[in-house]
Amino acid sequence: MKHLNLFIFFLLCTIFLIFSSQIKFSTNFLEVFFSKESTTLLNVTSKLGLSNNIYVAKKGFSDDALNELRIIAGKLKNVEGISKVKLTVSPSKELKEYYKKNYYLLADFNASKFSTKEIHDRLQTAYDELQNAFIYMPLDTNDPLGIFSVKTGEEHTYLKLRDYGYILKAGVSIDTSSAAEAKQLYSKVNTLLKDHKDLLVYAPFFFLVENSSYIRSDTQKIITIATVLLLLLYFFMLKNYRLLFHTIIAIGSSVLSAILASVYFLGSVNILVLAFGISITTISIDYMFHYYFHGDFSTKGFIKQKRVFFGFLTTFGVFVIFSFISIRLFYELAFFSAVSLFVAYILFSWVFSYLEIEKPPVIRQSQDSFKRVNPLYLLLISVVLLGYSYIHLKFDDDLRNLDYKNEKLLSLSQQFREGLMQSKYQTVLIRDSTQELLLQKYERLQSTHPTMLGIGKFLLSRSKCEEKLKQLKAFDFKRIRETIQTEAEKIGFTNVFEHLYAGLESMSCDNMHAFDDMGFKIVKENNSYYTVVFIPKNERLTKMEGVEILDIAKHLSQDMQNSKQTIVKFMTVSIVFIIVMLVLVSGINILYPLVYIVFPLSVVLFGITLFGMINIMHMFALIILIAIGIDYGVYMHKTTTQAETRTAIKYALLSTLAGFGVLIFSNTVALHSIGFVITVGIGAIFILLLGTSDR
Amino acid sequence: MRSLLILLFTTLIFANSYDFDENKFVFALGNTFHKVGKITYTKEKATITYSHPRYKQIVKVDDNISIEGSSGKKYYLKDKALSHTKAFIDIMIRLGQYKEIRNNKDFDVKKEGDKYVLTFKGEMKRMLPKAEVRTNSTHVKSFKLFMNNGDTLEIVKR
Repeated sequence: MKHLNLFIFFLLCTIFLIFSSQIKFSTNFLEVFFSKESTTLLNVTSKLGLSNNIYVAKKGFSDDALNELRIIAGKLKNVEGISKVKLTVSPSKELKEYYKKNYYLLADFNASKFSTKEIHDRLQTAYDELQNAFIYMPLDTNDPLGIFSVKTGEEHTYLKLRDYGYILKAGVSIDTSSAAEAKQLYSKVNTLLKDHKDLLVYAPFFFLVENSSYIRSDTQKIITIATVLLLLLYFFMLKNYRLLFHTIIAIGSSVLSAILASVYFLGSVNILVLAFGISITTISIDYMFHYYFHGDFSTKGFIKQKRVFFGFLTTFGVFVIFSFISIRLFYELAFFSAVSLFVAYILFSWVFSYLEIEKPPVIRQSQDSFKRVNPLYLLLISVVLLGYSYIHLKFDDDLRNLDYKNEKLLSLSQQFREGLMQSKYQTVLIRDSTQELLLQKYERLQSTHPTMLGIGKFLLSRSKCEEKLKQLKAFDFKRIRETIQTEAEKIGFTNVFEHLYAGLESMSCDNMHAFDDMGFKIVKENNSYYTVVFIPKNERLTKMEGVEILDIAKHLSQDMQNSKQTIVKFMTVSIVFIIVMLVLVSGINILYPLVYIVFPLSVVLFGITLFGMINIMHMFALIILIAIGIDYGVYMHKTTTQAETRTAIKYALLSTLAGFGVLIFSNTVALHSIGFVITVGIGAIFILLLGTSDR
Repeated sequence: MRSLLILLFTTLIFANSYDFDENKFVFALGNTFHKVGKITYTKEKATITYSHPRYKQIVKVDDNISIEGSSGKKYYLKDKALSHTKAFIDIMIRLGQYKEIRNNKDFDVKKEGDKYVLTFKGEMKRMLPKAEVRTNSTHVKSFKLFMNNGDTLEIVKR
C-alpha cells in the first residue's frame, strides 16, 4: 500500500504508452468553438478552395523579376502538396478546349435577322479596315458579323500585385485545415524560398501554422513557469519533499486519467483543453493541504472530512453540469476537469493515508493586530461592484480577438487582398438542394448582377442550355452562311469564309461539366450544393433564399453570442446547485460561505469592466473561480481549526496562483483572460481570508 | 523648361530605336500592304511612328495605347485591340534585339542557315505560332511573323 500512489501512476503511464499512437492532440484553436452551421460553412469554404492558394510576389515589374518567378514556379511544381503553379492569367489548355467545344452555348447570341445589305455593309467595313489598319487585328473568319460575343475583362498577361510586382499563384492539394499537413507544406515552401530576396509569400493557411505554433510555445512557456513556481512553493515554503513528490505523482495520475478518458469518450484532446485541464487539476491540491494541515494523513483508510467532501462535490458537480453544455471547448474541459478532480480526490483521500507522510509543523494561532471586517460589508461592496459591472460591462463576440495577434500575417493578408483587387468584390455563397437548382439560382442572381463572376461563365443550367440550343437551332444559319460567302466574293475577299460557324450543329448540353481549371467550383456538403460568386461591392445583394454574403466572422460572432447565452444559463444552474449545497452544509447561515463566491466574482467583473470587455474565456474562468471560492467558503464556515484551515487555504491559493495565475503572462488573449480572472479572484479571496472576522 | 530639356536629354540617352519597312500580307484579301515607320522605346514607353503611306503614331505608356493621326485626333485602344497591339509592340521590341532572341524564354529558337526560327510558347502560340529572324552577325536585319490565319508581317530594318 505504501507504493500504491506510484503503482497507479506507472499503470496509467503504461496504458498511455500502449495507446499513445491512438491518442490525438488537436492544436486547432478555433474548432472547439464552432457551431454546426459555422463548421458546415468552414467545410464548404475549404472545399471551394477559396483559401487553398499560396501567393508569391516578387518586387518589381521587370523581366528579371518575371524570370525569378519562373524559376520559383519550376521549383514549386516539384513540391508535394502543390497541385499547380500559375504565373499568367491565361486559361489552361483544358479550359480552352472546353470553351471551344461549348462556345456557341456560352457566348452571348445576337439573334437579330440580318438583311443581305446589312451583311454586305459589315463585310465591306471589315475589308476597308484590313486595308487601312495600322494596328494588326486578325479578321474573325468564323463569325465576321459578330453574332456571337464574349464579354472580356481587362486583359493582362501576368498576375500582378498592385504597387509591388509580379505574382505567382500555387494551388494547394493538401487539407489546409489540418495543422500537421499545413505545417509540413509551410516548412517546405519556406525552405525553398529562403534564398530569394524581395519576396512576399502569403497563404491563408499560414495563420493556422504560425498561430498554432505560437500558441504551442506560449503554452509550453506557461507550463514551465507554473512548474517552477510550484516547485519553489514546495521546496522553500512547505519543505516536505516526500509530500511534493507524491503530490506531483497524484496530479500526474489525475491528468493521465483525464487524457485517457477524454480520448476514449471524445476522440481527442485539444491542446488548450490539456493546458487548462492541468491547471484546473491543481485545484485538487486544496484537498491535500486541508488533510495535511489537519494531520489527517496519519490515520490509515479513507479520510472522511465532511468539508472537503462537500467542497469536492460542489466543484465536481459544477463541472458535471458544464459537461452537458453544447460548446465543445467547455464540455471537453468540464469533462476533463471532472475526471481529473475525481481521481485526485480519491488519491488524496485514500491513497495518501498509506504514504506515511510526516505531520506538519505545529501552527500557532495568529495574533493579528488589525481589526477584521464583518463579511456582510464585503457582501454590500460586492453588490455595488456587480451593479456597476452590470451597467457597463460589454461582451466581446469577436472570436478572432481571443487568438494570437499575428500582426505580420494580418498586414500581409491585407496587402494581398487589396493588391489582387479582391477588396472590390464581395464573396457571395449560393446554396441549393441540387446542382441544377443551384445553377438556375445563379442565373436568376446574374440577371440582377450582370457583372458578377462565377462558374456560370463556363456552365449553364440544363434548362437554360436547352433553351439556348433550341434558339440556335431555330436561327437560319444556312442563309447567313450563303449570304456571307456570296457577298464576300463580290467585295474581293479570298475564300476565307468556307468554315463559317464551324461546329455549331454539334453543340450539345451533354458536353458541359464543371472542372477545377474554371477557377470556381460546385461542392456538396450535408446534402446541399454550394458555389461562390464575386459581386462588386458597390452593388447591393439581391435578397434570395439560399444566397448570402460569405462572412464567417459574422457567423462566429453569432456563435459567441449564443455561447454567452448558453454559459449564462449553465452558470445560473450551477449557482442554484451551489446554493443548494451551501444550504446542506450551513443551513440558513449561508451568507458567510456565499461571500467567498460573490466577492471574488464582483471584483473580477469590476476589473474586466475597467480594462475592456468580457470574453468567453473570462466567463469560463469565472466558473473555475466560483468552484474554487465555494471550497474555501465551505472550509471556513464554522471551522474549529481556524489556523490550520487558513494555512491550508493560503497554500492552496498560492499553488492555484502558481498553476493558473501564470496564464496572465500569456500573449494569447484566451489564456491571458483566464489568468486575469484567476489572479484577481485569488487576490479577492486572500482579502476575505485575512480581512474578514470569524463566525 | 530646364526639366523638359533634362527629360529630352535622358530620353535620347536611354532610348533605343530603329527605322523599318513593314510588309503585311493579309490572307483574307490576298494582298500585301507596305508601310514605313520608326520605333522608339525605353523601359517605360514605346512609340511607333508611320510616315508612309500616311502619318500615324502609336504610343504605348504602361498599359495604355493611344493612336494619333495627322489631324491630331487621339484615341485609346480597348479590349482585344489593346491586348493584340500590346503584344505586337512587345514583339517588335524584342525581335529587334539580337540578345533577346538568344535569351528569351517565351519561344524556342532554332538556327536554320542564315535565319533563326522561333517557335512561340504559351498564350502567344494561339495566334502566332512561328517567326523567322534574319541577322547580320549580332544585329537583327529583319523578322517575319507567321499568323495562324495565314497572314504574315515582315519588318525589315532600314
